[in-house]
Amino acid sequence: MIRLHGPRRARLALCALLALEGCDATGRRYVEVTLQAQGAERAPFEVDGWTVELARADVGFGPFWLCATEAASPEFCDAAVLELRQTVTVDGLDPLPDAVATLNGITGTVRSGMWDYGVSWLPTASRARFNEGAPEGHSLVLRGVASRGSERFAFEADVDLAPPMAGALVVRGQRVAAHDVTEGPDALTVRIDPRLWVQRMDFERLAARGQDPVVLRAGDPDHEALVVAMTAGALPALEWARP
Amino acid sequence: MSPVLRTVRVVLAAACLAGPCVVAVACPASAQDAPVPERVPPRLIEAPDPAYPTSHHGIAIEPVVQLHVTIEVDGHVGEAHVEHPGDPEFDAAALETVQRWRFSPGMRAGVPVRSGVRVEVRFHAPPPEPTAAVSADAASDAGPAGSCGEAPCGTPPAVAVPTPDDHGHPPEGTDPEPPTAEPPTAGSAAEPPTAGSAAEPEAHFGAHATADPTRAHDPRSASEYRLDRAVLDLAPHRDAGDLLSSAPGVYVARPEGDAVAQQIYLRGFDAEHGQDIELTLGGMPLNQPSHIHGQGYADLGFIVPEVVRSLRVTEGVYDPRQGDFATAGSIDFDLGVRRRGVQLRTTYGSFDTLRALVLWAPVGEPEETFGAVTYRRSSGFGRNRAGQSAGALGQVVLGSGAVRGRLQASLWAARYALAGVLRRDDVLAGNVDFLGVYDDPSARSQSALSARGHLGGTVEVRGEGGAVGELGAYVQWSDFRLQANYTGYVEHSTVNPDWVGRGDLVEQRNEALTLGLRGRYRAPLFRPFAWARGFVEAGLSGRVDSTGQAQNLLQAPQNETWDRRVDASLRGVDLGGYVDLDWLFAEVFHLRGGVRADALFYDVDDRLGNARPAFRRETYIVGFRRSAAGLAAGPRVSLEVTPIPALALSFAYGEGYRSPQARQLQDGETAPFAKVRSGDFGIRVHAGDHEELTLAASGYMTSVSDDTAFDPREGRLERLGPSLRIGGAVHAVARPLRWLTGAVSVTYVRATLEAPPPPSIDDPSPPYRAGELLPYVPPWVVRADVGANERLFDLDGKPLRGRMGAGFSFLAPRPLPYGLLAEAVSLLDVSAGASWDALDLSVEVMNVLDARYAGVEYSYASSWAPDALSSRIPARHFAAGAPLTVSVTLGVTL
Repeated sequence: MIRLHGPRRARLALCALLALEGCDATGRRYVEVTLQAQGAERAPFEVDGWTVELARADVGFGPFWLCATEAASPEFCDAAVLELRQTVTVDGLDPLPDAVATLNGITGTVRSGMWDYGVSWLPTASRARFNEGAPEGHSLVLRGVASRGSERFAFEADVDLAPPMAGALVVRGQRVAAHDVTEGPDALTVRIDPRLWVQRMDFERLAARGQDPVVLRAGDPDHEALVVAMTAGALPALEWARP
Repeated sequence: MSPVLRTVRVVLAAACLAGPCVVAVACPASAQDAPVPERVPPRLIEAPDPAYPTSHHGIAIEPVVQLHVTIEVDGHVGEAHVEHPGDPEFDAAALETVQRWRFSPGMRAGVPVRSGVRVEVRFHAPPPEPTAAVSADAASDAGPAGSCGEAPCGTPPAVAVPTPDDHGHPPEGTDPEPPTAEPPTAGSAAEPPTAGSAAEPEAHFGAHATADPTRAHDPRSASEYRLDRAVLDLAPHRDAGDLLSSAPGVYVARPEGDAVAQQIYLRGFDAEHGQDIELTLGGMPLNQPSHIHGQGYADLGFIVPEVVRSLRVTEGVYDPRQGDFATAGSIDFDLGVRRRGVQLRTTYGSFDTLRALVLWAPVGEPEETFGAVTYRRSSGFGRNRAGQSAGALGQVVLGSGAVRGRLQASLWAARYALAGVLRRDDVLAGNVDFLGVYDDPSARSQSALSARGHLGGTVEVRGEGGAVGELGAYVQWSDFRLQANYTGYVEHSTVNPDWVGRGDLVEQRNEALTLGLRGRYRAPLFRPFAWARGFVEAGLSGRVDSTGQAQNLLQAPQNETWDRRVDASLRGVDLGGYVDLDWLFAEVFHLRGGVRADALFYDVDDRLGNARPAFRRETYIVGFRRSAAGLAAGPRVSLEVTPIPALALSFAYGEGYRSPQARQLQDGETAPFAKVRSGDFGIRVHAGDHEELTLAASGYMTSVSDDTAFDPREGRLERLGPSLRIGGAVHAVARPLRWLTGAVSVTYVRATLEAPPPPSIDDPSPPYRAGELLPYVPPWVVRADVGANERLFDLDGKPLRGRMGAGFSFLAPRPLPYGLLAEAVSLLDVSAGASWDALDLSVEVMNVLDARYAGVEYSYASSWAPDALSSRIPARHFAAGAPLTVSVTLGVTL
């Protein structure tokens, strides 16, 4: 036996009243979509002859909007399809997809996305601030060890990716495969592979600093390499899947 | 009666109305306890026939002129005036005739008293001229020889019939002449006249004989309605715009306060502030082309509801006289005041609302002559809704013969604060009260100011054979300023990209000056055959509009401008003309129609056009001046078939247009009018000797080539593409008892978007899809009005009348952008009142069930939490409708 709960019963009654309106055919609905995060394998990997083993790669992801337009930007995405109005910490070294949040929105077609990495600059604010949920108040907290033969040093990077101006976002216009968001079960997986970011670093240069650990700060070329990789070169992958 | 004594009686009457205990003290001889004295109505005992105007010989005009006359105690006719003036010559002849009539006076307790009754003077055409063709026609019309009634053949007979009033009441002293008014007993005065009646022509010449031989005043389709005061008075109405609620398929809201025009829904159209309805006041256009807040913006706030005599609602485009903005239809306000004298009315009610009205309708002048002054203030039904308005509206009719003129003028202004829109999720979360306003400087700075004035006049010349020439001119001025924040904190400055987050307080300004002319000429009746007759009419209209407008973003509360969106001057010229045929065949087929064409010219000075982005080097001066022109033309035709007098079938088709917003035109562009094609078929049924039941049912289809909808981001209308509406309507008015009247209408429409704009660089994620229901259009609109008005008893020798009324409106859920649905609206308004002598007391309760409803609802993304991450998901927003509102009105007529 099919039991109808109050809201559905009310909706059916409404549709009966508006039978000729075809409300089921044209209406869009508020939906919730599971957001999953998936990191990379923790196994060591090679970078220009150096063996790099990451101990920690926590990424602050969000806020995040998925838009109908082919190239999302705040100017061209007044109305989004799905959104995450918070920041979640993604363990970049956990290869198993975990449900980390719920996206809210309406049914429709998604073609692009835009987001911040845990640091946002609100239109009304005088400067960018990190959001609750950002790992230790940063966009990326990276810890690892690089070794080559007898050479070995640890490195650390706390990366803050702030939008360039008030009301702007760090990553805009990231295209995703067109996907129809429906009322059916759906999930979006954000795949973050910190190894791709680390591969942009110059470990020869880091080793030459003779520090252990090597602490990357804003302005360091390798810090900038991480920034470029996170915002342009090796963006997280967005993939749709059933939860 | 001396003024002193009269004042005493008024005071005593007020005391009687104050309550039973007061009555016990102040009214020792309560009329309720007194025996009802015998009342005898006046009787017509001598009614000489009217003289048929010689200028109208040769045409088959057989008009009926309705008059209100006062019968003095000696039986002669005192004051008399025509209730609905038509042909001046017939009106004059009727007035002259009734002065010669004699009555036996009304009696009360055996004493003659002064009485007021309504009478009709029916003119019958004299024998035809002795030409072969006309003789045949006349013979056909006049019937067999000897059927001239009691009047000698060859002499135009007259019928004098005390008639029921618009409520279906028998003739009473609805306009009693204080202090000695003594209307005849209800019902008894409807007895047939006793002399000179020649009653049989009613059947012989047809009960529908009017001043127009082609019955031009009949509706052109089953979707055309005339709502007289009897229907408009059934339920309480908040203002003149709210009177439209009584029309089938119409729903009126005023979600932006009393300084912003009403939002009107008409038969499948969200006409916003008038973009799809041609609104006129006695024929003078009220819509403002290219208004910054919405194309065709028309604020009805300046119209004093008490002076609205009737509404003519034409749903569809079937009359060549219908011009710009008549995409959904046309509504004309006809002004007149039946009750003569000086009326003082004061209303006080919920939310510290006070309204005062002084209405002067000089005794002895036509109904159309009056002057009214109003003032209103209110604290509003929630925070940030206070304001006040004041206005004056007057009209004078000059002349009463073949040349008749009318002058009309108004001046009105209003300023109200606005609470604006709220997100439904914020209300549900308890962040803001349903009737509240965001606790934000930008939200609290919302307000509107509107001011307008006009001066207009017409001269009408009536010639022989039903020929009519009319020439009118008007000048209108209006000023509009709105501060409204729809989206909170999402806008960016285009002047300086670094300026963001200062609040989206949109400032719109619009100042317009309009000069207009209109004229028409109807040729004398042409009757080529005995079974065919008709008129040909041609008309011209022209207007020049000069508009200055601006739109900015303001930072509250200092109102510092942080972005400029519009700064433009617009000039527009609209020249229109039409030809209309009005032909009646075999008394059964009524064919009307013609062609209308309008040529429009635009000159646009867009001072912010060719805007230069902030990052671009300055290589030119910002600004974009352009001109454009276009022509809109289309046919309108209707056919009404009347197989029996009580039944009429109608078919109608017409093409109308809506002019474009001038600022959206490109240089040299052929002005892209929104073309509307409208088809309608229907049936009208009348039942009862006095039309106790009238029923109209119609089906219709309307396509619009370029529809629009409100865009909250810009606070104005934006294009939607073509749309299609298919629907039907049923409207019934019943007067089952002489004191009871009811009206009900049900309108259904399926309105769909055919091809909404595809994604573009300006709007890459449009909210609409092909096949979706048109946003904001309620598929079902139901309206029911019921009213009772009866003489209850006599008090101090004068009748005390009581009345009750109720109005119910239902709107089915309206589709919103992004496929969402608004909530249904059900509203019930009731009123009760009593009148005695010169006093009138009424209580009105609007929204008696205290429903929490949205006056208007939208769907878009906004951010009202500037210190939090903003949402970009479209959310439902609404502007609250008024809650339970009680008001008491005390009126005195001097």
